[in-house]
This record gives sequence, structure tokens and C-alpha cells, in this order.
Amino acid sequence: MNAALLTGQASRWASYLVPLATTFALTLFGVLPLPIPYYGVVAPSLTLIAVYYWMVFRPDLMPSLGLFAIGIVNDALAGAPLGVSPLIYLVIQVAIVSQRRFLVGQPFWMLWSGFALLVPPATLFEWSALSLLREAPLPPLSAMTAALLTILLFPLLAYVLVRLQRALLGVPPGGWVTDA
Amino acid sequence: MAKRSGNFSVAGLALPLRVWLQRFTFVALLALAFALMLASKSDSEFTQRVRLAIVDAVTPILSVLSQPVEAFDRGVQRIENFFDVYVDNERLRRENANLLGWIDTARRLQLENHSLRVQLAHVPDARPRFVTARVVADTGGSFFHSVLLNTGRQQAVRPGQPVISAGGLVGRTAEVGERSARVLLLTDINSRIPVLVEQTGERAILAGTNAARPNLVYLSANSPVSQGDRIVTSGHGGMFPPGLAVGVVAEVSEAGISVEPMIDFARLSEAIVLDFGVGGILPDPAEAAPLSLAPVDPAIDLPAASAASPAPAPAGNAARAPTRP
Repeated sequence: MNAALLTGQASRWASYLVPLATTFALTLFGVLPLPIPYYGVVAPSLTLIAVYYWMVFRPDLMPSLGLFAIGIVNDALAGAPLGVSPLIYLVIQVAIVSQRRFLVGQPFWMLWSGFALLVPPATLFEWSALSLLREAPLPPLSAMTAALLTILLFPLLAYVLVRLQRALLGVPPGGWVTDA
Repeated sequence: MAKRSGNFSVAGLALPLRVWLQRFTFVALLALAFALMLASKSDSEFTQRVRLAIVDAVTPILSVLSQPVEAFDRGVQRIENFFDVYVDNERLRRENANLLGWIDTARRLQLENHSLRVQLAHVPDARPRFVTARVVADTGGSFFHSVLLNTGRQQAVRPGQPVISAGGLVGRTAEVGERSARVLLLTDINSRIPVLVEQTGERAILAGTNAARPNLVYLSANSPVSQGDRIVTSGHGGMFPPGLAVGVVAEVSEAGISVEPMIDFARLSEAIVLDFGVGGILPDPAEAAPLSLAPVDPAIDLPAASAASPAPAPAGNAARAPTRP
């Protein structure tokens, strides 16, 4: 009985890692060399989608330190100056914590709109920070395309994350996913 | 609401403490992120080391993850090849007929070259050593054009070495960890490669723009360049060996001359890191030898040594003398 309790507890603890683990996995997946023409140039930020999703539905499992670590990994992989992504994720954290009540339990388009509102300033910040740090204005078009792709990809990835959340954390988010 | 007021006396004290701790962590991390950003700006050794350590740690995972992607791509290519087989066959036949003519020319030139080199007591170019590696990550998105290779210092790869793939130049190694190497693609905005227009021998610099096609800059104003001209590395500056295919002039306009790279970067799954002995940014081995520069890696100096040994080298009229003043 004790063993069963232990494994139960262990799996519960493991499930608490799901948000950070999926965000980390998507960060890695985002840099895989997919054989799609121009993908590397306009690759959407899968990490941003995961950060937003989990910040809305399980902010308790997305501690600042975890966000910071994932941001650092993201920057290291991108070859970017360390600190740019952590800064973005931490600011997103503050923004979402204050606006959560407008997002949780709302129809899906509200959640999506919230994300669509969030991506442009995040991209703008990233673009200007990197342009400043590199001392050369980076071409804005590919950044804009990447931002647009990130927004468009949100529903697909959000659906996967909902499934995951239900399977592993057992909490159905919002009212917008009907039980099949 | 009810819970909060009910537990006021006991948990009420613990709660603010936790909130304060969270806020403190948050502000501390924000400050740390800022500090790191500024440190990265000045390219501090610390941030570089952190970056390399992270990339080194993650590369084995990426190496595994990228395998199914590669397998999938190979499958897709096989299907594509199947449909292209007729057209390809036709093209190859034509090309073959053409190349048979070139073989004769090449043989003749080889003989001629040989005899001329003997007359000049020419020192042969060092044969490049090379390391073949898999592309495990296509990083940077819209801001940086770089890829990660699953090779590093363990295989004697160092920063500043040219990287090629079937067809032409890919870029050069930038940051190199123990088992990971970042390749700055020639399309990156920070990439500058000394090149030649093959037809005219005119020198220029190929400057990356973060777009799919880099630009040809610093070409003299009245030099004739037209669409379809081949661009090859010139070897100036010692970073790249001369004669590597880079691309083809795609467009000549008022805005500039854009070059279509030889490499299809979307399909780049393997790359070759060249070590042609000059060691990138390091001085020429011929110059470095008398200075006895502490060898970073003894394996690196091998090609230079083996190239220098067969040289009879009466340094009078040698095209490339083994020692220079």
C-alpha cells in the first residue's frame, strides 16, 4: 500500500513537471532542421505558445525560475545574447497573471486573441533588443512572418497541450473544448 | 473569498511571505536577465562559456531528435526521385556526354599543369583535413542564420573553419564546444566572405543580409556582372580556401547584386568542416611554424607539416614559399 502511495505521489510530482517539460521539449523541437523551404528563416516560436498556454492555465506550475532557465536555453540554442528570451517570458508572466481572469473559462477565440495581442509586442521587443545588441537593424519582414506563423500555429499546438493537460494533469481548461 | 478570511490567522502570515519571496525571485531574475544581456553584448567569456555548455549539453538530445526528421526527409526525397527519374535520366545523359569531353580537357590540363608546376618548383597546397557532421539544429529563426553540427573540439574542429556541403560553401564555424559547433551560414547578416566572380576574376565581398540571397558588395563600379555568373571564394584573408563554389548571380539591379547560394539550406542535413591547415583566423602555418605557436591541437598541424616536407623549395621563385620574412 505504501508503495502504491509512493508511486502515486511520484507520478503526481512528475505530472507537476509537465508544463515546464513540454515547454522545454517544444524549445528543442523548434530548432530541429525541418526540411521545409525557408522554415529556418521564419520558424515560429513554439516556446512562446507553450509559455502562454501554461501561464494561463497552470501559472502555479510555471515558476519564474523555470521560465528563466528555458529562456536561457532558447537563447543559447539560437546563438542570441543570453537574457533576451528570459526577459520576454518574465514580462509575459506579469502580463498574464494580471489578465488571467479575462482568459480562463472564456471561449477559445478569446484565448487566441489574447495570444495574438501578445506576440507583436514580444516580437518587437526581441527585434529591437537584438538589433541594438548586434548594432545593425535586422530585416523586419522575416520577424513579422515568424510572428504571424506563431499566431496561426497557436490553435493546433493549444489543442495538443489541452489533450496533454487533461491526460496528465486532469484539469480541463476553460469551457471551449467539448468532451468527445 | 471565504477561505481567505477563514484562514486569516494561520495561513495569512505565511502567504505574504511566499508572495514576497516570489516577487523577490522575479525581480532578481529580471535583473539577472538584463545583466546577462549586457554581458553578452560585450561578448564576455562567461556568457560564451555558458552558451557553449548549454549547447553542448543539449546537442546529444537534438542529435537523437533530428534522426527521425532526417529519415522522413530521405523518404520524401526518395518518392520525389521516383517521379523525377525520367527527367533526371535525360539530364544525366546529356551531362555525361558533355563531361566526357571535359575529361579529355582535364587530362590535358593536368599534364600541362604538372609540367608547369615542376618548372616553378611549386609547393602544393595543403590537403585539407575534414570532419563530416550531421546538422542537428537549424537555429536562430528570423534573427540569426546558423545551424548546429554534432561535432566539436573532440574532433579538432575550431572556430573560423570553412564548412561546405555537396555543391558548395555553407559558411564557417563560429562557436565551437566539445561536441557541438555553430556554423554561421553565409546568409547571416554578420557573414562576409571574400569572393571572385569566376568569369571575370573580379574581387568582391559576399555579404549576408538575413534573407535567402546574400548580396555582392564592394565590386568595382564598372565591372561586368550578369545573371548566371558563378561566384567562388577568392581565398583572400586566409579564412576560406580559394575556388570553393559559393553561388550564382541571381539578379543584377539598382538595389544591388543578389547571389543564389549553391546550397539548399532547407535540405542541409550533413556538412563538412574543412581544415585546410591555415586555421581560419590564426596565421598561416608557414608563418606560424617558426614562431612555434603553442599548438592548440597537434592534429591540426599535421597537414601543414606533411605539405611542407615534400617541398624541395629553392625559395627563389616559388609561388608560395614555405617561409616568409
